[in-house]
Amino acid sequence: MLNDDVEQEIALIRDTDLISDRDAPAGVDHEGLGLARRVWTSHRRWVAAILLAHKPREADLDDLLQSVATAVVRKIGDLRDPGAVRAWLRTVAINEARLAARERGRRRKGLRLVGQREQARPEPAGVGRSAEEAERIDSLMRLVAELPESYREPLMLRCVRGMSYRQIAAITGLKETTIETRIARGRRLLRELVEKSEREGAGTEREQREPKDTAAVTGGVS
Amino acid sequence: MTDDQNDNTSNHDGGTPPPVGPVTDEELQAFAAEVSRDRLLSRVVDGEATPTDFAALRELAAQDQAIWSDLSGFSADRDLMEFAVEDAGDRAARVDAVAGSSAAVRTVVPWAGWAAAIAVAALAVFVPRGELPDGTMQSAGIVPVDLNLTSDEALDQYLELGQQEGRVVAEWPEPFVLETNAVSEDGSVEVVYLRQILERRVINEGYSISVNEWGEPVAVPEPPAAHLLPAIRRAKPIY
Repeated sequence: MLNDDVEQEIALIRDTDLISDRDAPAGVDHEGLGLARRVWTSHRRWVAAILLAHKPREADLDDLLQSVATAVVRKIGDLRDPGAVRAWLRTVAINEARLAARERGRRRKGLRLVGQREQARPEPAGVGRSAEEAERIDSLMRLVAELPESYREPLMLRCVRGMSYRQIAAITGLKETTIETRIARGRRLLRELVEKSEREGAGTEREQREPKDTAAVTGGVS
Repeated sequence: MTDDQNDNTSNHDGGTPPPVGPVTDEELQAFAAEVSRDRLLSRVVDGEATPTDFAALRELAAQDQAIWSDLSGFSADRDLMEFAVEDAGDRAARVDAVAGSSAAVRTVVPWAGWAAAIAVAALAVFVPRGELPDGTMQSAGIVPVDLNLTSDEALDQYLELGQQEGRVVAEWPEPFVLETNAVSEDGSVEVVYLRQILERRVINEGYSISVNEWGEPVAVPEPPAAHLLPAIRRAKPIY
């Protein structure tokens, strides 16, 4: 099945669209441009999952997606083996995410001129869903960010519709059984984080309620 | 040794402290059983479970009722993560590689060449006219500006002096690219962009515009505090 996928991929990549050369950035020829568009269009959904797993929390996903798309066009000439397109794309995406992390650090330094700390801006999650659901997604993704990177990536990829353990193994270059183990361990660790966070949340709520109750009792006695 | 144990990340970097001292066989077995149980639950949640897996699940559940709450927790977490990944995929689907590559020329085109126009514009706004005998311009009665400077040098000078005066806070490192157009066969690209300089001023007098009884606009003195605005967290880029 995997071989069929690769064959289809190669066929897809060879079948380049007719795209105006006017659209091409400097240094990228017509064929390269068609190839880049094909590669990006076929794989961008799971590339987004890779970025979710590797990007710094405060980085803007839309900006990163744009950077990866641009990098695909710029570097398409480096892709020698069409069968290795997934691994190549994964590397491009991870490099862009790391670049964003470094850039983020540099920008923070620059802005310390005023002695202000830049606000960590949470990524808006669950657009178009109820506020409560969006908040739950956002809270969970904050906890996902605490997982080790090696667990985050397979976990995120498994959430791409239709992506099997085998396909994740092909992208990451790991064995299928290793992927399965990492997903299972990632889920366990995430569960522990969720439960810990719920306990702490419940504790805080109790603390906030308790002084009120005490005041009410005191009021009654006096 | 199984793959579970081969997976180096399984044992240490997950937030639980590494075991101190030698690991006993019992501990190793308990860990392997836990991983095996979680793998089974994961396969069920992912829809990859076989009939043998379901039989194993029933057997486990007969001894360990907690398996149902674990299953439900895994499943709930997965649903929420799926929403997040789906949302990210939808965003990716809106990004076109070719259109994106021309809009993102900002990442490959060097700054220096195309900063000129804005630099000149900035000087036109901030430097009042008044030529000095040595060919320099008088700026706000304080700093002479050398007319032989390139626009980039002049802007750099403005930023430096502005920082010294406490007026310029920082220059945002990345300009917003508004538009790119191919201009010639050699691949040159015209870039229309917004350069951002963060500045501050202390204002002690303010006015609002009102109308008098004849309907004419008049300036009414007002304390600047009346015009306090909420902090802007982040300006959205214009694409």
